[in-house]
This record gives sequence, C-alpha cells and structure tokens, in this order.
Amino acid sequence: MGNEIKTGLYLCTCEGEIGRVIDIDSLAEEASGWSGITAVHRDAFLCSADGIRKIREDIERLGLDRVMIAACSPFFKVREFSDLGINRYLVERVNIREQCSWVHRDDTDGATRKARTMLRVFLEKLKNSRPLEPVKRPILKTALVIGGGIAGINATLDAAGADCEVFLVERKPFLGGKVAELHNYFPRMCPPSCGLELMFSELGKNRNIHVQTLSEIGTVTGSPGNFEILIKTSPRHINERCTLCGRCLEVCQKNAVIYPEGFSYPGIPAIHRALCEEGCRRCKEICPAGAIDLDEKERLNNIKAGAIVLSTGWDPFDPTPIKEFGYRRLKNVFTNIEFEKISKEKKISFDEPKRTAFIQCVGSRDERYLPYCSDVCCMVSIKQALFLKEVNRENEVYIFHNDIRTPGEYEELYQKARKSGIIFIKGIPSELRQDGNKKIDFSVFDTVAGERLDITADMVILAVGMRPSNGNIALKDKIGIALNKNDFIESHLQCYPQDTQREGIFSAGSCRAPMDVSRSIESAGTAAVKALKFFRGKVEISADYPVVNTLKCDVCKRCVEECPFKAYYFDDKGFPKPEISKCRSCGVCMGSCPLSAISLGDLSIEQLSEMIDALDKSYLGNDEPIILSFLCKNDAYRAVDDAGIKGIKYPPNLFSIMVPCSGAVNGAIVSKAISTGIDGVLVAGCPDEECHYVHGSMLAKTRLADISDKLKEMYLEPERVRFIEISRDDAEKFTRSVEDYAKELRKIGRNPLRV
Amino acid sequence: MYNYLLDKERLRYCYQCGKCSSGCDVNRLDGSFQPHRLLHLISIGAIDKVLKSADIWKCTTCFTCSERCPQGIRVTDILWNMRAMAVKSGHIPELLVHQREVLLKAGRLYSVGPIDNKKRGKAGLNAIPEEHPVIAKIFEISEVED
Repeated sequence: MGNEIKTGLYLCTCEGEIGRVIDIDSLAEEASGWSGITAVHRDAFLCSADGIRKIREDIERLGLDRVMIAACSPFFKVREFSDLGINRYLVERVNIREQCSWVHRDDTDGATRKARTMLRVFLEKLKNSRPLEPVKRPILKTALVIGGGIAGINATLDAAGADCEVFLVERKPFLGGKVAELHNYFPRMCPPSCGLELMFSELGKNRNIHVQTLSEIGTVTGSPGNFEILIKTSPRHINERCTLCGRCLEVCQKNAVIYPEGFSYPGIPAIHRALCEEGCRRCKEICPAGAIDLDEKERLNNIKAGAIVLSTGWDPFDPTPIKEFGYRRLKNVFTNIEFEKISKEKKISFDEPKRTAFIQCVGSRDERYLPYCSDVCCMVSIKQALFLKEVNRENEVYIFHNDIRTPGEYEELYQKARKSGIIFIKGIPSELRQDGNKKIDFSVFDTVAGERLDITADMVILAVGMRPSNGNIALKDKIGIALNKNDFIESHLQCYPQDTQREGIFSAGSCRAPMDVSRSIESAGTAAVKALKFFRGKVEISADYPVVNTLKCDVCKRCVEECPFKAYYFDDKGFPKPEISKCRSCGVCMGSCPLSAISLGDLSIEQLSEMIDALDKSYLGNDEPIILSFLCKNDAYRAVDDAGIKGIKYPPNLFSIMVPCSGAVNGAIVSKAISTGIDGVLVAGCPDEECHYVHGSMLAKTRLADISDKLKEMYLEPERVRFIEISRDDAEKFTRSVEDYAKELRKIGRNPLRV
Repeated sequence: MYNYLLDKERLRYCYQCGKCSSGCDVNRLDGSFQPHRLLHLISIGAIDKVLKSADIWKCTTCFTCSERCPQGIRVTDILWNMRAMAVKSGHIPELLVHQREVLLKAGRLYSVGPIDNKKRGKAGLNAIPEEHPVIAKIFEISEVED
C-alpha cells in the first residue's frame, strides 16, 4: 500500500542558487521514473505565486496525495508553502539549498549525488506519512486567581472587568495580603487603606467575582483550558449576619476572634478555633445577630477554570540565623516589616529624638540566604527614614548600605532623603552588641572614608529581603509549574515574564520575583491580559504528539520516567499514554523506548528505519565515508542552515535528518544505521543547560555512549557514533567537526558492514 | 594561584561591604589592617602591593570575617595564601626570618639563653637546652626546609 502514493516532486533551481550547483535536469529526468512519483516539475522560482499555483493545480488535476518540495530550508518561506490545499503532514520539504547547493558549491558532482539521495530518502519517508489534524479543545472562560494580595486582587479586577468569571482564593481570613499591613506605599507615601478600599468596593460590586477566603488548593486536575480545582475552605464560624457589634471580641479571653480592620474584605471577623478555650461558647451566647456557629466544618468545593493566575506573594526573610545582628536577642532591633507596624500604630514615642540605624541587605545579596537583590529594601528604608525625620526633625538617621539601588525615578526618593539630612554610609556593621541598657553599640567600617566608626544607636532596623511564600512550593507539584533556584516561579524573564512553563497558568506579583506595589499591579495586569488572550483561542494541540504502540509495549515505564514534562499517565489497560495537552512533541519518549514502540505522529520509528534503508550508502562512491546526522530542530539544524547562509563549506559526506530534539533519537535507529553500512552517526543537540526539552541532549549523550560501548564489544570502532553539542550560533564549530569527523572516518576505513 | 583565589575562593564576588573590617579584632587595635582593602587590591590586580605589605602578617586567623561574609568569600584563606606567596617572592618580615632559624635549631619560636635558664634554676625549674639537634633532624627528614 505504501508504494501506491502519488507524489508530485517540485524542484526549485532558486534562480541559479541551486541550479548552478546541482544538476536539476538530470535529477528531474531520473526521478520521473521512480515508483511513487506521479509528476515532476522544475521551477526557477517555486515560492512565487505562479509556483504555488502550479502545485495547487497539479494536486487537483492529477489527484496528488503527497508533495515533495526540493528547495530551500523548511524554515524559509514557511508561509508560502503552508497552504497548498493538502494536509501539511503530507508535504515534505527537502533542503537542497542551505544544506546542499550552498555548502557543496565547489563539488557539483558530490552535491548532485547527495541531492539525489536526499530525494530518495525523503520520498521513502513520505510513503509512510499520514495526514494529521491538530486536536482542538474549547477553553473555559473562567479564571482562578490563587492568592488575594495586591497582585491577586488586581488580576481579578482586570480579568473580571473584561467580562470574565473569576474565582479568587485566599488562604487567610481577609484579602489584602502583605500590603494591608504596611504603613504607606512609596513613592507617593499614601496609606494602603486608600487603594485597597477602592479595590474592595469594586470586588464587591462585580458579579463576575467569587471570593473564597480561608481557602486552600486541594488538588488540580484537567489540562490547560479545562482545569478542575478542589478547594478546601476552613470554617470562619461567623456568617454574613454579623453586624460588627464587637461583643464577641469583648467576651473572648483567648484572643481567638480575628477582627477585621476598617477596610478589610470580607468585613466579617473570623474565629480561630484552635485558640478557643475548651467548651467555651461565650461568643455564641452573646452574639445578638446569631451569626456565630462554632461547629461549622471544613467545606470542599470544585471550581472549573480555563486559566490560573498564581499570586501567592512573598514572606519577609527571618534574620534570626544571622546571629551577629542579634535579632530576637537584642532589644530595639526590628525588621523593616515590624517597623511598618510600629510607624503605622505609633507604638514608639518619638518625642525624644532618637538615633536610628538602618542596615541594608539583611539576607539579600547573601550567598547563604537570598543570593538576589530584594528590589524594594532601599526604597523601604528611605521611606521609613523619611518618616523618622518627619515625626521629629531632631531624629538622627543612618543608613548603612552596600549600594543604594533606587532605579528610575525612585532616585528622587534618594535625593529627598539626602536633602532631609539622612546619613548614608557605605559599610555594613559586622556585629551588634548591647550592654545592659537598651542602646545598641556597633562599629562599622566606612569603606569610603577608610575609617572605623563606633556608633551607639537607640534603634536598629534590619532591612530584610523578600523571599517567595511557601505557597510556591506547596503549589509546585499540585499544578506542575517549575520554580527557579530561589523558589520563585520560573519564567522566560525577558520575553514572557508572566507566563509560567505551563500553558494557561500565569503569575502575578512577588511570587515570580521581588517586586514593589507598583510593579506587582503592573504584572497583575499583564497576567490578566495573558489569561484573556488565552480565553479567546482554542487549545490547539499540535498533531505530531507521540503514540505508543501497545502491541509492542511491555510497560517498562522508561517513557514515563524520562518525559521532561511529566506528560505520561497510564490508560485503562495500564499502558503509558501521553496527556497531549502537556506534551510538547519533543520525542524524548521515542528516543527512550527500549522496544522502539513509541513514534511521533510526523516521524515514526518505521519511517526512520525505512529512510535508512533507502539511503544509498555509496552515494559518494565506495571509498568515501557517509555520515548520517540527526540534528535537533531548534538549534543544530538551524546552525547547519546558517553554515549555508554564511557560505561556509563542508564535504557532502554529511547527510542530515531533522529531529525535534537530540533526545528523540532511538538507539535502535543508530544501531540500524551502523549495521546497514553507514560509516558514522552524528547526533547534534544543544549543550546540556540550553536544551529546550530540559534533559533531552543529556539523555542522547548517555544513550550514544552506551551504543559506543556496544560497538566495541562487536569489534567495531566506537568512534562510529558521536554526540556533539551545537548551539544556535555554532555553524563554524559544526562544519569543523564534520570535516574532522570525515577525516577520522577515512582513517578508520569503510564500515565493514557496508554491502 | 591568582585565578584560583579569584574563582575558587570567590574573591571576584566582593562588593566591599566592609563587614570583614568592621568585625575584625586586629583592625580594632591597628586601623591600618583592613581586610576589605586587601581583597580589593588583590582583585584589581595590585597583588604586589599586598605581598609587600606588612598587613598580611597581622591576621590572627580567627575566621570571623569568613564566617560573616555575605558573599561567602574565604577571607582568612586568601590572606593565608598571600603569606605563602609573599614568602615565595621573598617578602618575609625580618622577625619571621629570625623566628624560623630559632625554630629549626631549637624547635621553639623564641630563643632560650643562659640568663633564662638561670632564672628557671632559681625558680626550681629544669634548664631547657638552648639547641635541639633532634628537632633539626626532624625538619630535615620532613623536608620542611624545601
């Protein structure tokens, strides 16, 4: 059946770029006699409107069911050749320009021989190509926002404002997160109540918004566009009938009633049952509204959402492990977060002037704790220092710093601080001491003056940094996102900062990186727009996802283990199967399978095997070695194309096949190539840390080393298989390796298995 | 050696916070000893200045600086290496040359003479030999002199 195909072969001379080197006429004549070829057409300019029309007409007129375009690289003229009126998986692009005519321009004979072999090999591939259709799934236009801090609230409001239904889930009894605890925001120094109050009233007004406080994420199932999330809600014990009369608060002797502040959302207190005195029901008895239910139980509910926005926020770094700063041990040593509360509630009297020292970078920029800059602490300390100057002009304020980082217009804050008489000293104290009294003594080396300064302060504020909240770690496995080495959410920072590594899941605010209020709100807007954009489409799953041949599979689970995206699950019959919405068609499973039972939709093991059979091992004569190379699609193949574009030459001994990732090359295919007489197999993939599919190239390297060992056992030269690391820009490196490899193979001699 | 210090001992990462100098007990007594300054000089390539300086010999190797350095720089180890390099390039303080001789001869850091032994005798203590041939032998065998 495979031979009954009707292929139209279209050869492009590319205005001489190809025709000058490759003898297109003789190829055309020869190919017209091949089985499976119905029509052959030559064109000087195949990508022109006329060229495309010719292909479309032929398909209709001659009933072609396959198209082979021998022209430029498949990464060129993509749009021109994308709509030919035939399923795109039945069209094969044969790269006789970048990887043949341009690079072998001094060897017309060799180039023509190689081009002929390429046509033969890819015709063989086409024989077993199947038409494939992408899988389209509808997307639920509902978003789930996890975390009700300033970022989560804004993401919710933005998405709901664009008529989308949003569920906002918060772990604590009230929304507002960390910012609700602040005294004021820089740079305009307005109190958070002002902004939050407005946001809360909007939350209450919008019927698209459903807020669940005291709630945590249980399990997350489903796939992008159709997530199903189980939410666990702890009991609040007080319902909406509450009139905020405050009597429960008065009678409670254990501080178990958590009372909302003026602008909290929801405006209902909560009872922390774990703190209650056993058997005590005083609050319930006194409540005039009957709003208290002390026996309320945990509730579970399911939410269906198309997209998820993570806004799990941050926690302050706890400076206790930095023993020399004596936090918790010394009096009057506070963190900047504690100072927010002190300044907000005026807990300390500033009638008497005080000397205050701020120590910057506590925990931040420290290899042992937070190896990054926490982004906000410089501005926070300046804000707090200005507050001290404002409440009493006689207050002496020192800021001990490494570098003051006030990017952009925040420089104005720094200027304002200098103008107000705040003293900045470059140098960090090594140790704080306290002798009996409440004052703190320390010495600091002013590294600019080159002098040691001895200082006695009334109060020391440790400018502690921001670390991701535990929510990130808790959610990591539940929803399958990646965290970076500091446990912030991993993203492509420059181009897609708010996208996580999983489709349909976005991040907002400080769970991705330390951020101030203004940047958090910005990022929330971006995340909301990303979610809305996602809702407009359909989840389209590329049709080339892998298929497991269950007749061969012996459930060794190697594919499940090695899949970089943990896409594999076990179907009803117990066989591994990829969840196609998680799959990115890298083919690492195809490369992993010891029984060669896994094939990608557009490049099956059978196709590869038949392509190798069709490859004439003596296309350059009996004495020249043939190198079969498997090039990864994202980097190596493009680097080899680059060689052509840059005019670098390499010998026609190299014959390339594109694979999605070097990790997709199955050992059986490599063995087959060697056993059928190919002299050398070269697998080119990205350097380990650059691999687009996490560990594909690392796996390829290991697998090839195993084959190499096996060759040795068979008294064959282990050098016949080789892995090289190629980055996107490594064209020169690649061509040099090919030349060297060809020389090496000539020295080793012909593959004894070649017929 | 120089690159080893920059990379392995993390010297390149110093951002001059001065925590090493502010916590240094030697600096408290002798302000001219400033570890952060020595690190800076080494990292900008002015290593000769450091090797010729008497400062590197002042460190008591208490490791407070290494323990508190936010960049994990092994300050004490670096200064220790500087001493070795100084010796190799011939910058040894006079006093140490003398001490070395005494050490090789008597196995002690300070020389003991007849006056000391007389005092010891008055206090009812045994006399200490002024030289100790076995010690020299030990050093010879263990090739310390090389």
